[in-house]
Amino acid sequence: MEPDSQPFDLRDLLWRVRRYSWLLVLPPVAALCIASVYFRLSPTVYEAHVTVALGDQAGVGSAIQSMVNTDRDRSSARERMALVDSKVRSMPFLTAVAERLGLLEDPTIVAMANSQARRFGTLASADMAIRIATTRIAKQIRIAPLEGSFVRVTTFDNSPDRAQRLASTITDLLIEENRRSSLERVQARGEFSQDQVVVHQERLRDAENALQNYQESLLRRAMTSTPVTENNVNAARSLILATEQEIEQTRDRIELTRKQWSAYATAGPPPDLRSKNTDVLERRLADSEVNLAVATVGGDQSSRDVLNTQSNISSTRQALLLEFETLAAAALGDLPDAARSTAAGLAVDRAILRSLRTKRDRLSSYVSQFARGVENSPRERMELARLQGAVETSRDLLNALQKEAQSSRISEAFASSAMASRLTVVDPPQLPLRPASPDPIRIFGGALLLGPLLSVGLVIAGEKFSLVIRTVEQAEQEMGTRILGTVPKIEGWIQREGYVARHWALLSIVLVLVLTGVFHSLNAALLSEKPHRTTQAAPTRH
Amino acid sequence: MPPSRSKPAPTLFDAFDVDTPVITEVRRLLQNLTRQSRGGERKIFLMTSAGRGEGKTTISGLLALVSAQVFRKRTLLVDADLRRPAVHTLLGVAQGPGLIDVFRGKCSIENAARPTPAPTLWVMPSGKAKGSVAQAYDDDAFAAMLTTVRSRYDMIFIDSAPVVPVIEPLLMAEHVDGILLVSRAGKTPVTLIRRMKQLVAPYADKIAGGILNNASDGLPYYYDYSYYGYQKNRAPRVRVRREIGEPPEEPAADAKRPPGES
Repeated sequence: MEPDSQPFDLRDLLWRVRRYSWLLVLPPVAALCIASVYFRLSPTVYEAHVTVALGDQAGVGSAIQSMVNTDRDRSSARERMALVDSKVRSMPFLTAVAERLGLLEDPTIVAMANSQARRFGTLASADMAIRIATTRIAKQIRIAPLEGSFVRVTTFDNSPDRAQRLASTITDLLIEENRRSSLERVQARGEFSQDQVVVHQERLRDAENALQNYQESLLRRAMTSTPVTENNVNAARSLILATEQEIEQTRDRIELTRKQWSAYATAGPPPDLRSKNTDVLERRLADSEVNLAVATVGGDQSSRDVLNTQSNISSTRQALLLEFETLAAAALGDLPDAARSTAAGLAVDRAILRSLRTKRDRLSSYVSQFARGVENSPRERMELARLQGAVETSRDLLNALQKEAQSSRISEAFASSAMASRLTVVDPPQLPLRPASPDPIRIFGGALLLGPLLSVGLVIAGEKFSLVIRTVEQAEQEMGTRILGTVPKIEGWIQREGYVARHWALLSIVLVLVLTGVFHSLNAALLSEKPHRTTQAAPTRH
Repeated sequence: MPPSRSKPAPTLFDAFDVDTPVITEVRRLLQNLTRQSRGGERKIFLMTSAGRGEGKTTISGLLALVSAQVFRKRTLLVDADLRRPAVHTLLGVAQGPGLIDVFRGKCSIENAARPTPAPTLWVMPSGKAKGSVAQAYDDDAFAAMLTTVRSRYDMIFIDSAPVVPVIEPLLMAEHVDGILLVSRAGKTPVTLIRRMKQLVAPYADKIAGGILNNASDGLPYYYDYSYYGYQKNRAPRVRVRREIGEPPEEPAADAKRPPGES
């Protein structure tokens, strides 16, 4: 059984490649010749590099680091590069560079600008010169991100001096521009913060006033409110019941006394014994009863105040009795002493009944107030919390704004100095000693790489996309008949083809080499004449 | 005729060497043809190709030379490419009189078929055409000529024009025993071969086979004859005088007798 694939045979491969020997040689030779021509034709370009760091490079302590760098740049390297690139390629910046380099007065540019201005007619010559100069400078700048917060600005020119000068100018302008914009930014931030501080001070004052008013109203309400709390509300209710029982007892006693009065005087109801003194004593009695009730509800029944109040009540009742007896003796002098005493006792009982009613009503109102207070308590607490929150928020905002204003002042101080510049030059531009382009290693290395690759590609294409007969098998397939014999290449016999057709590959290589040699010879001859011309040419400004 | 001062062009005789790879391959090819000749019935072979410059004349000459020199057969090589005749240059003989003169009746076949330095090889050059070649070709005369020479020679090779651009090869194909299709490796376009295949399709029964010229590059490395110790570009070993009309060196009395006269 035959294997599916034939084993790899290096000699067979080399034999097949041998057919393309000239094709393998010609592209590398041509590539090297083209590379040498390109190397000679390419203009010499010098590059000057400036490495700048974006971010705070100043020795600022950690305590004020956050205050100084409130707007610290945390963008990626590519974003930083884009930032610097957009800044450097902006029209005002390029114009400033052109002015500083004196390009706007360069005779070549001025002549070109005059010509273009005459041609288009829409722009003034000075504007056209700016446009030409900025376009030229923009083409000489390349910006690339480096590791960390570093960005490399590369300038290139045919002259090493001009390349270095352009890089230095760009660096100086970048630093100045950055410092100026930083200062403007922090000043604007400071002004805004100050305005906001004033506004929020007013808001904090309003919030604090509102809170204070509410707290005062609550305090007033607390001072005039019931002594009944959730701890003594049951005692208050028991005292109300006890007072009502006492009121009933007093009514019964009054009823009994009225019946006794009817036995003494059948003429009419008992007289209303009242005077200013009795009114005063009666109010005092009512107040004492109320005070006793409050003290009792307060829970301290054995305190001195309670005892004093009870003593006052007794003495007041005695005083009322004496006063009523006096009034009864004066008003009922024609009645017996027992009748007068009954009338005075009846008046006292009535006064006691009124004082007890006052006591009961006051206790009831206290209990009612307590119940209403329980109902209103959550709403009051929420309102209080809202007002306190508003005050806290206003205070925090104010503190933040005051901090911001303070940091702005510090930042402004830093920005106005060289300490806190966000853009610093790490590696200043050096005078380039060797041209960056054309790079012989890259050009000839590329030619050495591309030439063989092209050869291999052509060989593969020749093998894959061949449109001519090459093998016996192919000939048999296309002819439709058997190949009886093969005749090898007859070299050295009759050659009916012309010399060029037979030696086209060698002639091609020779032609390429000769053309390259001619080019280099002519180029060298022209270069030898060039110094005479350049010495006569007017020197450029930059 | 005064001898030419300039160096004469090399001919097939100059480089003929039996040991060379080329002659080895031609011998192998001729052996295959002999085996196909069906006991001598097939003896007239027409060499044609798709286009020009594919080696018809060289291979015709080599076949004729090997047939005469190696196989010792009486062989006739006819140059029937009336437009671009080259056999006379290849073998170093005068162009006329030749085939055209036979067509016109100005020359007999015996006079047109001239001897060569090889004892058993005769060459009938094309002759010099005057006017239109298409009109010069006479199919009947060609057929009569072949009938005449068939009995006189053992092998007859006719070098013709390419089949795609001209008509004469197809007309000649009517009268020959076999057709040999020559193509050149690395040169003949596939499309041209396909066209040739279409044109010779009516004569499929006469197609003896194909010959791949310049096949060194298309063959595997072990076909490289230097692999066996040969040198391809070895200088010619045989030097013969090629002046037109001069007798060949050491002509064998028997061989030099014109065929048909025996």
